[in-house]
Order: sequence, then C-alpha cells, then structure tokens
Amino acid sequence: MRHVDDGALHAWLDGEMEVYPADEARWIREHLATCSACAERLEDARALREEAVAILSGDDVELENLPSLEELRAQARGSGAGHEPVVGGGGDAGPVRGSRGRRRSRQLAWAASIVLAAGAGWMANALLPPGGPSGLQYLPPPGLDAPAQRQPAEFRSVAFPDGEEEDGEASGAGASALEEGGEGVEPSAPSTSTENAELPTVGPSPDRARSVTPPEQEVVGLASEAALATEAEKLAAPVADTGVTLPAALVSELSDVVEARRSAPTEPEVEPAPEMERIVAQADVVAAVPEGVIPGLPVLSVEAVPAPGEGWWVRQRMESGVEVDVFLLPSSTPPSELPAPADGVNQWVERRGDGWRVLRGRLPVEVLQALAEGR
Amino acid sequence: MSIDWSELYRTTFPELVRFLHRKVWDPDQARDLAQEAFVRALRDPPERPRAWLFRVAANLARDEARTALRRKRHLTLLVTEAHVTREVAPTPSEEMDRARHRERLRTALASLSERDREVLLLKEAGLSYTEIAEETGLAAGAVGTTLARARRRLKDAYEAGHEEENDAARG
Repeated sequence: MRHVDDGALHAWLDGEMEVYPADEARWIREHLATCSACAERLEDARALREEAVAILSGDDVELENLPSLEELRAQARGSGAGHEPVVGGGGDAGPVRGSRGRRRSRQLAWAASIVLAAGAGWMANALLPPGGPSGLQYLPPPGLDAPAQRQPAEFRSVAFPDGEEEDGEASGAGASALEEGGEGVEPSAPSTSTENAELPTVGPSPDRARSVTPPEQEVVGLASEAALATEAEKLAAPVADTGVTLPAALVSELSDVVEARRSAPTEPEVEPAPEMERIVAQADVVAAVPEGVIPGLPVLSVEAVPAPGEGWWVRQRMESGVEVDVFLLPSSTPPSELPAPADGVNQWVERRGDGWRVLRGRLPVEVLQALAEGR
Repeated sequence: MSIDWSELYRTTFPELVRFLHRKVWDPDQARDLAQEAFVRALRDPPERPRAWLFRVAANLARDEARTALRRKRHLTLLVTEAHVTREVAPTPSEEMDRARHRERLRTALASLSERDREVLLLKEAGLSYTEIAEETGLAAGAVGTTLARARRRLKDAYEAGHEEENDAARG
C-alpha cells in the first residue's frame, strides 16, 4: 500500500501543498484522513518540526539599531555602481555603520603578510647559497632607501598598520590570534637567525611565530601597501577559498628552482627573471581558478566555456584518475546551451548563486551529486 | 513590477539579519551584510526581490566565511602554539545558557550538508517552498523531503551536542 512520504508530511505541515499537482495533493489529503499509520507519522513530523523551530528560534539575534529604510535609501543613492560593499566604506556612501572597513583592512593585511612570508621564503631559498652568508638581506621596496639601522629582514609575519589600532586594540598577528580565541602574541625582539630557509615550511618556526616586529619597526617597506595587499589577496584567495590542490607542476617547478640554487657551489646568479616570470605566470593560472570548483581535487585546466563562451570550464581529476569537468555558467547561459555530453558521460546540474554549475564525468550521477554537495 | 519597499523592508529585513546571523555568527556582521544586500536591491531593483535578497545575502555570507577560513588557515601557519585559553567572564546564568545553546546550534548547523542547511534557514526565514526552490535549484516538490531530512539531522546533532556536554560535565 502506498503511503505519504516524509517530504509531503512536512509540506502538509508547512501549508505548502500547492507545490504538488492537484491530483497528488488531493490523494495526500484523503490518505492522511484514512490511514492511521500515516496519521501517526504526521504527528511525529509535527513534533520534529516544532522541535527544529524551537532549536532555531532559541538563538535570536538582537534586532535593535537596525538601519531604517530611509538610511538604506540614502546609501543606495550615495553609492556608485559595482559590487563594492557600501557599508564601512566611507566616501559618499552615507553614514558608515558597522566595521566592515576595518575588518577588510585587517583581512588584506593578513593576506599580504602570508604572501610576503611565503614569497620571502621562496626568494631566500632561490637566491641565497646554502646556509646563507649572514642572514637574509633586506631588500627595500622601490622608492625607499635601504634602512641603515634595521635588523636584517627575516622570515616572519610582517605587521601592517591596522585600522583597529585607532580603537586601542592590538593589531596584526596578536589581534587576529585573540580574535580566534588564541593566546595573545607578546611583542619581542626579532630574531636574526636564518635557519628558517627550509622547504616546505611556509611560515615561521614556532618561536618565530610568536615574535612580532616592535612598534618602531612595524612599517617595513610599505610604500605600496594597498597595492600589495590587493595583489596578495588575489593570489591567496583562490587556493585558500576553494581548497584546491596546487598543480603538481607548479610545486615541482618551485622545488626544482630552489634545489638548483641550493646545490650551486658558487654565488647564485642574480638574474632569476625568466624563472620568476614563469613562476608568476603559473601563479596567475592558479589565481584564475574560479569559485565553484570541487574542493580538494587538483585542477588540470581552466578555460572559457567553448560555446557559447560565457563562463568557466574547469577540468579536475579525482584520486582514481577520473576527470571531472566543472562548468560554471552565468544565469544568462543555461546548461542547455552547453554542447551535449559525450556517450557514457553523465552530468549533474544545479543552480548556484546567480548562475549554474554543471558537473560532467564518466561517473554515476550519484557520485557527481556527492561531489557537487561536497560529500 | 513596482516594489513596495516599506513592506519589503518591514517583512524581510529582520529575517535577513536573522538568516545571516546563523551563517556568520556575528550580529554586527549580519546587520552589515543585510544592509549591503538591501542597498544593492534598492540600487538595482530585482524582479523578485525577496528571494533575490536571500540569494545575495547567502553569497555575501559565503564570501565572509571564506575570508574567515582563510584567516584561520593563516593563523594555523603563523601561530603554531595557539593555546586556547579564552577566559570567560562571569555572566548571569541566562547568558551562559544562551551561549551554550548558540554553540550547540552552531555545531549542529555546521554538521548539516550545505544544501540541507540552506533550505532549513531559508524556510526559517519565511520563504515559501517555491521561493526556496528558486533559490536553491531544487524542484519545489523536493523541498519538503530536504526539509524533513534537515530538521531530523538538526535535532539529532543538537541533542548529541547536549549529551556530550552532559558527559563532559559528569567527567
């Protein structure tokens, strides 16, 4: 005997029977009126629904100090086109409410510090002979004179001026550590040792991690901080956002460069430009990985969708070696406009944000669905 | 189509803040993101503003979560001896209960699949099955099934968190 499924029971309780065809809705009503088993299940579903609502409603956010509609309208009139946040941004965007500006500044500083640290490590390994002569050399950014009294640059977190300082809060690593519930980082004198030039470490040693540049040395080479932070975020975001594994070729190439430099018996040539250019070009490929790829799977290629040309076509590889094509399409390009999948290739289509995501591969549909849902 | 902004604001904005709060767990941030979504709608009115607002809000929250995750990863690199010794200031017992509930809810929601969580929160925010289907790409007839599963999993995960707390309290 056919019974009402759980989904229909919840739709019934939510007053959403109109999502079913009229015949089906009528059958459900009649069945619930006559089937004691389903009536009992309906009561269980009702209890479950009420419990879930109670769980969710037990944590109600304070709704005081919400902006009025007039304030929102004023901000909409005052803000320009584009998708930059209109709050916390100052300028003509009307009264600043909230703290997103400060937050963003701090996030950029973090992104910049990571890329600087990683970049310093790579550069140190690539450019200096094994062991190093006497520590890393300080390389001033363009436009700044080499500081005579500064400590040699080292592989550490670089503290940036932070918007939080004006509020009397700590900045840099200490502030973020506190934010994350971690222990505060006590300022201490910077280390000058060079044992940190080891791959694959991308970050400071534990001791070094706890050191912060003293206040008088915080602004080190920040002539183009804003530009640097922007670039840093661009570079750091794709990998961190998606959990995408760096292409093996890039990792391998970086390792080769470093190893070649290390094993060089004499002073390395100070002309790394071609290698660096290639590395930067590879990094650009990584940076081009769009959002929506399957986390954890290596990206083999990123291309524009062949036809009609709008959206991304990302090819990824599973551990088993099976390749999965991920098409990320804007809402203006429905999946039906993609070329039909080849024989034996299944696909999973889903709405995603303002567009579509289509997964294709020689895999069962259930596997594609699981990949799409991150399972 | 003419939009009654006053009505939309009255019926949607508070729900938008609640919806976002359960994603970012920061009242100020939730308010900021809701504000940002609403201002975008005012600037370029969408066809179906209510569903659109929640879709944009979900995307904004996702971006924020990614940024937060990135910062967390950076901390993992930079602060390798992060002893978590957060001090909890004495608070009234009601506040403590609320904090415990929030943490349990947060953990329970995090244990759900992204789709289940989204459907659950959109329903809680007052969207209809049709609007939820439009937002998530599910068939309208499948929303009930997803919702039934999400509610069950939320309850189970929440109760499991409660039991773990009790076990820990008993030693």
